Amino acid sequence: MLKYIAKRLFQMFPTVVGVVLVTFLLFNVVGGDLAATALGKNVSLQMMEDFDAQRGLDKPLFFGYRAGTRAFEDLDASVGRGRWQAWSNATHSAETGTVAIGPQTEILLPAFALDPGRDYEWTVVYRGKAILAGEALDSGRWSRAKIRFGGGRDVFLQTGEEPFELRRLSLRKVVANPFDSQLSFYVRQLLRGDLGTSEYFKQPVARLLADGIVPSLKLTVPIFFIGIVVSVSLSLVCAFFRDTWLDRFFVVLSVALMSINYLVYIVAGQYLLSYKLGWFPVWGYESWRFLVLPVAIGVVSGLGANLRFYRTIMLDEMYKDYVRTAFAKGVSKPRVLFVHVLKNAMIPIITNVVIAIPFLYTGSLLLESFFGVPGLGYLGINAILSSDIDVVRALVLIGALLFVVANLLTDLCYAAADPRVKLG
Amino acid sequence: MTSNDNILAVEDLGVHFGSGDGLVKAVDEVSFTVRRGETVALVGESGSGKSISALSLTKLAPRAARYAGGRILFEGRDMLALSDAELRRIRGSRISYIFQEPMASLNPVFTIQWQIEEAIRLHQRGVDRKREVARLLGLVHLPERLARAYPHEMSGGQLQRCMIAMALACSPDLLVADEPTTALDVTVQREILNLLAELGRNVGLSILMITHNFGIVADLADRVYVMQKGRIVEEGETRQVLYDPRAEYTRQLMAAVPRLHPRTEEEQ
Amino acid sequence: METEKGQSLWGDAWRRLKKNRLAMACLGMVVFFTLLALYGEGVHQYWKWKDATPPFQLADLGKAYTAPGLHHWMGTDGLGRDVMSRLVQGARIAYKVGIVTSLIAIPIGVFFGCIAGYFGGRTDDFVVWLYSTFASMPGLLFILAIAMLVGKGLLGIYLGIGLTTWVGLCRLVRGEVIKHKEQTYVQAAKALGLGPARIIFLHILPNIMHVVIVTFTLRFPAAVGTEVFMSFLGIGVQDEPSWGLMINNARMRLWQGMWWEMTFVTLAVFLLVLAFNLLGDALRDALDPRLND
Ligand SMILES: Nc1ncnc2c1ncn2[C@@H]1O[C@H](COP(=O)(O)OP(=O)(O)O)[C@@H](O)[C@H]1O
Ligand SMILES: [Mg+2]
Repeated sequence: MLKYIAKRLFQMFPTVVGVVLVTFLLFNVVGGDLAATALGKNVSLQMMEDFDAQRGLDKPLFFGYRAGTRAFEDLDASVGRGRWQAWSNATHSAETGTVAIGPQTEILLPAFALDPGRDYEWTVVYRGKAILAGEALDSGRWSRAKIRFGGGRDVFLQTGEEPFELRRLSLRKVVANPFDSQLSFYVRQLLRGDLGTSEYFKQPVARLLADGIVPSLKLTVPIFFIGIVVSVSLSLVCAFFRDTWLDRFFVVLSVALMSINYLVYIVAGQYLLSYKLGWFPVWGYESWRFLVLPVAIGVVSGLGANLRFYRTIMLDEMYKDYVRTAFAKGVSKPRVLFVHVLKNAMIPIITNVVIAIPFLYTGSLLLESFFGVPGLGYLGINAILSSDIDVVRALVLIGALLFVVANLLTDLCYAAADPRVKLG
Repeated sequence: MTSNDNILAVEDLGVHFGSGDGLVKAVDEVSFTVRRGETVALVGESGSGKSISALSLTKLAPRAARYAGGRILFEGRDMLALSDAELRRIRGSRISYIFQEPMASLNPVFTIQWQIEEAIRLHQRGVDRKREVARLLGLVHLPERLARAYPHEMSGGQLQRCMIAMALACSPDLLVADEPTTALDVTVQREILNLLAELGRNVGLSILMITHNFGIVADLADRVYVMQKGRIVEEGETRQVLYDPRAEYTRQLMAAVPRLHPRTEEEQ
Repeated sequence: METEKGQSLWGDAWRRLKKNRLAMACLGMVVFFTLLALYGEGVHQYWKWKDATPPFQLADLGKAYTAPGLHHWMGTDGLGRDVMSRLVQGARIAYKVGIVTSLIAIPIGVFFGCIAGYFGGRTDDFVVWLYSTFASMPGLLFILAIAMLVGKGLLGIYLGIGLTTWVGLCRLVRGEVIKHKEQTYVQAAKALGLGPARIIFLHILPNIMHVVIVTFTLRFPAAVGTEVFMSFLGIGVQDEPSWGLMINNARMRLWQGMWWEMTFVTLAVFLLVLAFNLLGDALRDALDPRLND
């Protein structure tokens, strides 16, 4: 058994890597400008730069010697990109695709003070004479130059008497260690157990998760267990009365329950049971009474799919030859069902139950927000609505990792429950 | 021969599926008898209604089946008129079954010990079940240690022996064997058939042997019924039916099936 | 299943389906909703062409909260807009989501499933790894995260649902292709020297089309449900009359006794999802030869 566990643990590894990679790609690559998503439009570039630095977003993606900085937006005069409008004495010509800077001008290029502890590099395509970051540029023809400098001092573009024209100008950070990338930052952060910082709450995500897990479990654990008991019992009823009106009723009921949108359960439950009839509190998290309705809704909304699944399993078993043998031995129908069939059906049921364990953690997104249970679902919905990147990423990542672990547990349960599974 | 010798007498039994256009008379006015200590074979091609007939004896036919007339007299009592509880007392204690697929017929998640014990527990009180299981396994020539095994750990032949041991648990009067060797290797088939023949002789068991293989019929059966499309088309002493079949269908059936060794000897 | 048998499969399935009265009723319902959605699209395009605000978007506070009656069969909402025409627009959006997400998810699933099943080996390992990874992602949260990153609106919904729901189909297709790969008609095609792309897409794929059809029918209502959910939360459709938005609006009014918007919208969602679910089940039963013995 130990050997089997070790083997399965080892097989888990690629999926874990995959999960980390997918969350990384989703947020760092697909996600685009996370700082803009998270902070909105009306923040200073300095704040965005800090946001990036805190999350390693100011590094090359996978590997590289250069990384971007928000201190200076790339200027590309041919397509009219860049912030030359803010410069005194600069004129842009769309026809030639150039920015011309008048004589005797001094322009402070970066939007905020650069980090004195590191090196930067200008890349410039120019014609004419000027001084950039202390280096003299002088060329009669269009030419390209790279100027490397320390971030300690302010960086000016100074022109003399002669004209100076720009086509491109961009600023990059020089990266000392090319492997010091966003990916490695993310992985190292995870290895430290650091899930990042919530921009909204200004608190470590791990703290928020720790605070939220208990209310979540108070809601999902009852849903989970009551749900299993109810749906397995009903599926046994269906198996016992198969092909009768009762069985057919439950089949129709389960499809109907499945087809009712989750929202409807919540809205109808709150409106009818809490508001109209006053059976339950409408909103809040003060005593167990506040949890009754959300738990009931959770159970009912999951009932359809579970009942259908378990019923199929039970009926599949009912038509197997060993059931006929049991009847031929003189075993009574209840005993066939509860002993012979149930023990066999337990194997897929356990599998299904264990694989649903991650649900305990994320399963109640809506219930929590609508009933005011301060759990992870509440946190998650709010984080998504307020674009709290780190919280969302941590929730997704942990949900996925839990699923991977649940998968492992499923296999182990399978091995333990089914004598036919060979360990090895 | 009086009818009292008959442990089982099926009279005009009808078992139907479906209705209207889809009506299937799986068993259609079938009559046959089994005497005490006798081995009777029910022969017919696949789908001719043998299994349904056999299962109907204790009302085990699939739920969709309708019993449409006739009587099944087991020791003089009409099985079709018995209550569920009375039927359960007969199943496994007075009439036992073994089936075609031993691997599928045993419950995969229980040990052999458990499954045989269950058969004993259902019908007998105050027996030392452990010893009884050991005795039964001995009866079918299996080592005692296999009791602790699960079905998937055994071969088809061993499993069929377990089925037989389980069927014999309460010393039944009638053993219904529904194609007990069809799913087995040829050599294993022979062993199982020998075992059944031996039990028939030594324990005095009546056997209703269902098969489509005339080799088996020749080997084991005292009398034969031939079934076609739910009806009995021929019946008689084994020798008579084998050497002088009256129905054309029987002849075709005999020509079609592979023959086992002993029959070729008999023919010579 | 041989190729010729594959053809008669559809005929058989159709005959079986026709006998199933419930399934035919569901098919009728699906057709009805489809026509509704097409009509909605027509209206939508008409107003776009006229470059005017369509009436179902125009507030008319004088008519707010009219109960169902002759002029407004399903009443009006808080801004005096006709619930029924908004409902039709909601059907249009639901269909758009169901179809576009299918157009994203199904090709991905079929493509990966086919190459994994057909080539086996490293390719298979890679695809299995890929779908195990995606299967591990926590469903709704992952969809919402994608939508959050892509930005509010239909695009977020399309990508969120489309990029996450190909996994099940991929697994099914892979299994089917593995089964078919060994069959004589594939071996024969190989012996003729046909390339893998031809064999997969011209020979095997038509034979496993039923898996795709059933999957489409069953994932459609799921996608609609998710869209309603997302729009309700405010990260989905923004200023078009999506069912989710309508439910969100109606939720507030419900407490003041305006029951009609809520009732009709939830009924529409329920009927559409139910019809697709039942039809999908019936299709699977009719098309899956294993269950027909
Ligand atoms: N569950 C069932 N539903 C409908 N018809 C059945 C069912 N089981 C058996 N039948 C019908 O009964 C006939 C006899 O079946 P069976 O007794 O199993 O044949 P066999 O002689 O091969 O044992 C079959 O041809 C079939 O038409
Ligand atoms: Mg049979």
